[in-house]
Amino acid sequence: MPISLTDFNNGDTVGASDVEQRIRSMENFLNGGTSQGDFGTSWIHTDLIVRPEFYGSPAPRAQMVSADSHYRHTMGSIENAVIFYEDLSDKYLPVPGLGVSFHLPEAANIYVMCCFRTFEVGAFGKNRSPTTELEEKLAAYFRLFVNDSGIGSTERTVYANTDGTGSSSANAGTNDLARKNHSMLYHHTSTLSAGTHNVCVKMKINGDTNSTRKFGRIFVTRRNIIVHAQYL
Amino acid sequence: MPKITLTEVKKGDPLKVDKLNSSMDSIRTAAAAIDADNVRIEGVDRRNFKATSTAVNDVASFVNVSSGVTNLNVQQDFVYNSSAMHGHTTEQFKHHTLANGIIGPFSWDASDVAIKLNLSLAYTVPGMHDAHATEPKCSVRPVSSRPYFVFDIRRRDGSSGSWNTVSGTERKIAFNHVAPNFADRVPHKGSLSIVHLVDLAPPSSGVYFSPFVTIWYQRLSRPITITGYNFFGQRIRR
Repeated sequence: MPISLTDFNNGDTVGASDVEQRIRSMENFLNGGTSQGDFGTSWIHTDLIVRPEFYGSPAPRAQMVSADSHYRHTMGSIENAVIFYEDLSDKYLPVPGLGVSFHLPEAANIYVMCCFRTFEVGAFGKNRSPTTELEEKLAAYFRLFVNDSGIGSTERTVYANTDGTGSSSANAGTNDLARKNHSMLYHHTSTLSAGTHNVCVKMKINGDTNSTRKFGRIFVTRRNIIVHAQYL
Repeated sequence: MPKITLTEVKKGDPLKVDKLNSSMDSIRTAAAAIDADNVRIEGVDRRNFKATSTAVNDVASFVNVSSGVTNLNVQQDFVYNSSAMHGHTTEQFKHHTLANGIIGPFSWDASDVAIKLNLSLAYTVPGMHDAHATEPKCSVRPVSSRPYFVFDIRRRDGSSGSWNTVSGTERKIAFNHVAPNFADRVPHKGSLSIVHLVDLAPPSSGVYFSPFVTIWYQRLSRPITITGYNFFGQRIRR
C-alpha cells in the first residue's frame, strides 16, 4: 500500500499523537514499506536494483532482489557417483547432490532444471542371443519432489543392463543402451509461501526379490540441479 | 537522485504546520522519483521495499506466462500413430483438457529481451526388426531408410493459422535397437529437454508455442508414447 501522509492545515490543533502517527508512517515507509504503488512508472528497471549476493558451500546460491537461484553440481567422475543397491527400500529415497533446501523471504514461484546420468551394473545375464530383450527389466524410478510431494510429470526410469534372466555375472553388462541421461524441466504452478522449502530428485527401487537378482547396483552420476525462485 | 530532506524545528522557533508538511512532502514524493543513482550510490535495495514490490508486471524481470491454461505439468501418455508408411507424419502434442499442448498467447514490447521456452519429456519408442519382407522401409538394411523421429517447438502468430518450426529446437531420436523379428523387438526409452530463447524483434502479440513430433519412415500404427511432459514459457525483461 502506498504511503499515506495527511498534511496539517492552518488552524489545526496538532497534538503529540498526530505528529507521532505521521512519524511512524514515515518510519515504516523508509524501513521496508515502500511498495510498488509508490514508484514512478519509468524510473528504473530491475537490473538496476538487483544487487546479487553469491554464496558458496554448503548451500551455493545467488540471491537477488526479484529472484534467487540455488544450484548443486557434482563432477562426473565415477568416484563422485551415488550408488544405490537393489536391496534398498522400495520407497522413494533422496539422491544426494540432487536436493536443495532453501528459504524464501517472500512468496515465490519456482522453476527447476535438473539433469543427471544413471545406469545399472551387476545384474546377472545370459549369453547374448538374438532374442535377448533389452530395457525390459525396470530397475528404478526417478521423480522430482517439491516439499515431499512427487511430481508425476517428471518421472524417469532406468533399466537393468541385462535381461536379468541369467544365473551368472559372467555375462552381465551387455546392454549399454540402458544407460540414460535424464533431464527434467519443471515449473511449479503452486506459489510457495515465505519460509523454508525443499526440492529434490528421489529414486525408488523397482520391486525385486533378492534371490532372482534382476539387477545389481544403480549409479547416479553427473548430477546437476538448479532451483530458480522468482518472487511475485 | 531524490533525497529526503527533513525540515528541522529549532528550539525557540514557532512550530508551524508547513514545517511538518514540508518534511512529509519530502518523503511522500521521494519514492516516485527514485532513480538508478539511488541504487548505485545510496544503496537502495530489497530491505527498503515491501514484499512483492519489485517483481510485479511492469517492473518484473522474469514473467511467467500465467494461468493454468498456459502451464502444463501433466502426467499422461501421448500416443501417436504414423499414417504414412513410407513417408513422415507430423503430430501436435495433445492435452487432456486443452485442444492442444499450447502455451500462450505471448505478447511483448521493446523492453522485453527474450522468451524462454522450456520443454521436458520422457518417451518410449517401439523397437525395430529386420523382417524387411513385411516392412521394407522399416528394416535396417543398406538400402533402407532408418526410422527416426524429431521433436520440435513450433510457433503460431494468432489464434489460428499455420505452425512454423522454431529453428534450433529440433531434437532427433533414432530407433537404436533392432531385433531379428517382430516378436523380439524391444522399445527404447529415454528423456529429453529443449530450452530455447526466442528472438522478440519486433514487438508483437498473440503468439503461441506448441511441441510437435515428426515421425519418419515408421510403420503404421506403432505408437510413440510420451510421459512426463512439462512445457512452459517465460518472458525475460530488461
